[in-house]
Amino acid sequence: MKMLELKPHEIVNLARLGFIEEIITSGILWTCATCLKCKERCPQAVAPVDLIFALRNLAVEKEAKVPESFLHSLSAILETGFIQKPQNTVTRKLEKVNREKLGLPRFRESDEKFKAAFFKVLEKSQEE
Amino acid sequence: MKVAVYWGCVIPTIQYGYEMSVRAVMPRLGIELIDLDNVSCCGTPVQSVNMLAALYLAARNLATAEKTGLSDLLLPCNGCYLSLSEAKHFLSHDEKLKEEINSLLKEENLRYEGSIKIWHTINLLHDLIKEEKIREAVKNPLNCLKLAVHYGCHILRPSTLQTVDDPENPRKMDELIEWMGAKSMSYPEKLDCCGYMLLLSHPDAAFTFAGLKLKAVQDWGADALVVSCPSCQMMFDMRQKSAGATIGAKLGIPVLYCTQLLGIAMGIETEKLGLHLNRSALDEFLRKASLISTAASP
Repeated sequence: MKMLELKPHEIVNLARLGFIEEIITSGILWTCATCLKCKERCPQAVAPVDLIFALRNLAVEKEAKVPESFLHSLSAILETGFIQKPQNTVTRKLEKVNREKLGLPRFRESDEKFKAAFFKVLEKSQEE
Repeated sequence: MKVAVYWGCVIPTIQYGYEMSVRAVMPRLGIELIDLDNVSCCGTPVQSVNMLAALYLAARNLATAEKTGLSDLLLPCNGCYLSLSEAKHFLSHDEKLKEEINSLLKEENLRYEGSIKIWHTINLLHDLIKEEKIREAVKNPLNCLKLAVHYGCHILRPSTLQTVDDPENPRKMDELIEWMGAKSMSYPEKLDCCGYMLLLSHPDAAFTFAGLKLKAVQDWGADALVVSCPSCQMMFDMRQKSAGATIGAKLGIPVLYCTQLLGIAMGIETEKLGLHLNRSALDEFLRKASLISTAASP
């Protein structure tokens, strides 16, 4: 069993004190499950999760400690438009199945024009 | 009534039971689903890396849906629902941002207007199709079942957006279940998160989230846990064994989609609802509801 020590109000106050470098190199940002309860329930309407996401973006920009899995999705999207291609799976009786076998329509990947356009967006956002 | 449908990434690449059951129940309730061409990821997985790119992806899918001329869009995935409703919110409150996104979309001759109305499976069933039609469609009332519902975080919060239900006291899924004849139980862990977003970076923590909730639902005596999000289903159903192992508990709680349950109540064959794909202990559950007779023989 493992519980994480994330306390949204701590991150907010560390940021207010200017410890940005410390937060983005500590890895704590990546322990948020994005349940959004901090945003919903904060009596001061602070929305710590919004700050966590902004700091994650900053961590990526500064090439600080970022779990690789977050970067993988981006390269998959550039390749097919989605985070993954349709996977084979098994039934409870361990019979192998896929979309076709299940009678589902063909999966439509994004076209080449999308990939080029999305690449441009990424380039542009890095310039800013 | 024609409704555009955007499946996102997780449903059409691995959570086939959700897609199958949505495709099976909706036409029988008067909803003709129109699949979209050339859509892409909703942006959620990119939010941590690059907010602008995430917003672009969300707006691009909305613009693609608007191009059909239809006025309603179904988003069966909670993550996609949050991402697209967030984009709608940002772009309707910031004209400059909207023009910036539209200048990027021009590359593919797309334009985001903000005209299409978005629905999740739960409020589409509850608020658009409504009680009378659902009760009418139920051929096999699930009277003997006591069920726990799990809404999933991203259709309930934050209430600054157009959420599917009340963030602290959601009732729509409970009512849907009651319209099917079953009992929806009240339990303290109802709003707890499944942990999915931590799965790749902190699997032990993710499985602890899922395991503790599953154990609570099991200990309160529910016959099954009913979900409406493909990520939650991945945690509670597909990864139930890992969740149990992580918290040191033996788990055997059936988990199924709300639309799979509705399909059972409507008398649709279990294989058409993808119920053979759920990994959790569903066989006994289907027997208990004396439904095994409608399942295809092995």
